[in-house]
Amino acid sequence: MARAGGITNAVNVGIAVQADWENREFISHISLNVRRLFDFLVQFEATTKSKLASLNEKLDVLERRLELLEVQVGNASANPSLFAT
Amino acid sequence: MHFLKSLQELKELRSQLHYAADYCETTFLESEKKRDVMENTKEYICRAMVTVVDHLGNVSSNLEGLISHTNAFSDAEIRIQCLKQKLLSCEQYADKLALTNMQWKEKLPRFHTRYLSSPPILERSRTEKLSDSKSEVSSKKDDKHIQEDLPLYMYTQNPFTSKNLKPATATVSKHKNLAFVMPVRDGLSVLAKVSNPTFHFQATAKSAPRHRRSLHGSDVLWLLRRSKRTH
Repeated sequence: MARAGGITNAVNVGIAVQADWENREFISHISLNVRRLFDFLVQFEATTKSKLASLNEKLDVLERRLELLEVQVGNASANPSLFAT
Repeated sequence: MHFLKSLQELKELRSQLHYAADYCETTFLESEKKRDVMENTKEYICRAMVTVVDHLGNVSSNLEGLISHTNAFSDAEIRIQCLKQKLLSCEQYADKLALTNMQWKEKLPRFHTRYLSSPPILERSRTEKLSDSKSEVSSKKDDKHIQEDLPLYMYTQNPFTSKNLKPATATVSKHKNLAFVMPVRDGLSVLAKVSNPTFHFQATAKSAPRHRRSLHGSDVLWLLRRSKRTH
């Protein structure tokens, strides 16, 4: 009886250890996926920031061109005698 | 719109995950079948991970679409280039107009006829007439021949008025040719108006014929008196 009880205890410990290893493997998979997700989010933030910066630069250039055009149109409209025949 | 909707769904998923984690924790602590609760929790975690990745992909794709599909910038850039070209063409047109105004003017500057020097041929004929008294007849013929070439307005002026003319300034006196003033034979100068009313050359020119007329009248009276005496 004592041998049978020791064998069952050993089996139970082995089952518990296997279950523990399975749980550890699951947690490692989940943590790895979360890290991948985090890396993706960091990379996505960087690319989005760079694209937004390029868009901001384009907008600045367009605003400057518009201001230049406004000044030129203002000068031309302020002196209409240039276009009078 | 899609980006905002997906972002709102991701925020709602965060609260759901927090609520599910609290529920699994309490269930695991209170339940006797902890193995089953753990298996359910594992399954829920896998599904939650997939759901979170799906939501994150949706949000990121929507944001990427918003950033990359910016055709409005290119359209605005094209419109600005068009306006720039239009302004450049307007400036070129204005420069062309200004250049044509500088090159050709409809109202050309006109100078009075008296301020222009006479041709050298006429001056020589007058000098010969003044110097040589014997060849007076021939010089008169030459003058008549010259006057025939001149236009009609030349006959209204006395050809000997140049003797009465004096140089107004020292610069004019240096140039002897300018002392003899003569009209020009172009048609445009006839229509010119007198710009400076202070000149009185015309008055001196008119005074000489009046003096001649008075002399001529006195000669007639002298002839009449002489004829009366003889009778």
